[in-house]
Amino acid sequence: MGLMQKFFGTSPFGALAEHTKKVHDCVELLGPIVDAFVAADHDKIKELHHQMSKAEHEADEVKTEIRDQISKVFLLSVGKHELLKFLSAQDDVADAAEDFSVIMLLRKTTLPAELKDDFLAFVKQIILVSEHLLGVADELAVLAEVSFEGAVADRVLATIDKISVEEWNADKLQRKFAHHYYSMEDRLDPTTLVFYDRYCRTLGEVANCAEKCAKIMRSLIVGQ
Amino acid sequence: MDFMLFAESVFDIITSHPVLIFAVVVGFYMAWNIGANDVANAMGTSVGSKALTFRQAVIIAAIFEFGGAVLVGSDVTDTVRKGIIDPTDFVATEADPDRPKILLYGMLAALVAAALWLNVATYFGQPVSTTHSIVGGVFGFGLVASPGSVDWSTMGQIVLSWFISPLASGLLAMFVFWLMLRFILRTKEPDLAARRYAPLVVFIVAFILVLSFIYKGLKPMHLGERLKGSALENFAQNSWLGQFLNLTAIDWVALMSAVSVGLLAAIVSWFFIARIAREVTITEDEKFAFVERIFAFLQIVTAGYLAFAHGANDVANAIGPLAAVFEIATTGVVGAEVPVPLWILILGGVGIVVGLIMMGRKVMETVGTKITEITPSRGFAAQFAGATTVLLCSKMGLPVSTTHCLVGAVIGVALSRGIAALDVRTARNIFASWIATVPIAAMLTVMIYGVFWLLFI
Repeated sequence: MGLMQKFFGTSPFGALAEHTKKVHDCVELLGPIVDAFVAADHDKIKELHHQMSKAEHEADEVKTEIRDQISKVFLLSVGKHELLKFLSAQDDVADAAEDFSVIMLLRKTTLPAELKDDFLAFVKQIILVSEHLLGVADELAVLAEVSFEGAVADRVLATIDKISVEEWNADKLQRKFAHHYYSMEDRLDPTTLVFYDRYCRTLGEVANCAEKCAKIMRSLIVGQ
Repeated sequence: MDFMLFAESVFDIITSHPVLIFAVVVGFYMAWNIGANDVANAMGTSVGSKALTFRQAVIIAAIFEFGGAVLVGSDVTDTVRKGIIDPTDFVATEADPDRPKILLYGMLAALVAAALWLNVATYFGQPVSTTHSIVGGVFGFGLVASPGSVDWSTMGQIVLSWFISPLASGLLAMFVFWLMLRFILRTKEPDLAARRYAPLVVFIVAFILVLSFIYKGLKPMHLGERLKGSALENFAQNSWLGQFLNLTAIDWVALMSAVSVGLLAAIVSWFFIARIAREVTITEDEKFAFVERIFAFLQIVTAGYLAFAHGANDVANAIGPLAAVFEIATTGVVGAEVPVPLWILILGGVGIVVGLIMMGRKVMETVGTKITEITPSRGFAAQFAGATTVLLCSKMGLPVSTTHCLVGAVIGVALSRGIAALDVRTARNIFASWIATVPIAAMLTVMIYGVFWLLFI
């Protein structure tokens, strides 16, 4: 093989977009999981949890592959440090999503019909945040073409800023949901309340970590 | 008929001096090696990015390597044969009538050592610069045979150029890439911008090529004398424009040829690009894909440019020592102010082309199966910068490594965040052999020279 061909290291952007996709697969599974939860279909939750574990494991494999790859290269067009930080933040997203499915399995908690809309809206918003992040990761290849500056970069940075807004919206929906179930505390047993709290916290964690990913992505693009 | 006579006389000269047969074989083998090993560097990115088929790449490389070697190769050849060590130090004296033989066998030893080292290193997968090998060999011999013969100022210049040429190439690549970003890639309509500027790039490359070979290659045709008393000379000397620009008649010929060939090439390229544009429909998403298609086309041009520059610089590594051996074997004297014989330049050019054709297939197969991480736009920037640097060094008679210039250019683009990443291990290998080649080639040469000395002197 020609020396020049060997001189070029493998580009991490393809694998990075793949990792983001796998992580988003995990987050997307939250949709069917909460649907099964609302329908009180625990077998379905169990099955979806297995899918979640599998997706999370696949994301892990891609992560390891990228880490191996970037240990063999230098003069990356994006910061190595930021790249590793981004990977580990994405890992946290997938972990939080998987945590949620684990908590779902711990106890056969039910959801009163009047809480349903608020809860589903909250989860839907979280998936939306992750979707935007995926869109940004898919643009990395185009960004690389223009060396991360110019009109395309500005557009991507605007999307990143939008992720923060969407995360803030998710926060609001979380609070709305929490207000709602605490207003019903007389009618709910304490353990159920504890579990609603845990759902909120883990789901909030998914959105928070996704936002953190977006922030790291920003410094990845803007550079030093 | 002329050619037959020429070939016969060359044959007679060679066969009447047995040592020359050996030197010709090793020189040809060295040229073969240069063609076989370096073709991947010059053409690889073009084939890898599917800009060229293997056959097209070989044809273009063959034409331009040969052209560069024969037309512009003599400056660097002169440096290798009589610049690094002063041949007048080896003139026959009363006390030592066989002194020229020392230089003869020394040059031969350098050639054999470089070929040997190149093969050993290639076997172990180490990238080796033929330039550094041959310069190291000649220098090592000079140091041992007669330290006073080493031209330290030339040697210093050469070594300095080994630092400066990759650096200059890198800076030029950064500049070229910056221009590409500014005027094409980061504009609102990169596809239209690429179409607009592509013929200009073709013009520039054609202009440089024509200029460089008119000034060098046409010297043997005594253009200056032929133009004596012509209307053009009259124009150059007497018209206000001619006086104002202060150009000679040759300058005018060179400029006019370069401009007209450049314009012709630009017009032809315009049609080619129009054809590419017809083949693809450009949607918003595929603008960059189209831009890359244009750069893939431009890479054909820069690949030819690089092959020309490479031929001009690297042919000396094979035939510089051979030219010295030839001079001593046939005339018995050294250091005469005779130009490098044309047949030796042709021999070097043919050797490079033969190596390229024989080994090219292997290169294509490996390049074709690997997903290349380099896109045509980056390949273009690196090749343009590398070729320009090497050609400039060739004009200054400096033997530099084409590979190192390309490496410098690629690093320049990478520093502009233009390349995803570079391979650490390959960089380490290049650096290690960069350091090791000169001392090893020098020592090998001294050892082989020792053997020759025992046997023949």
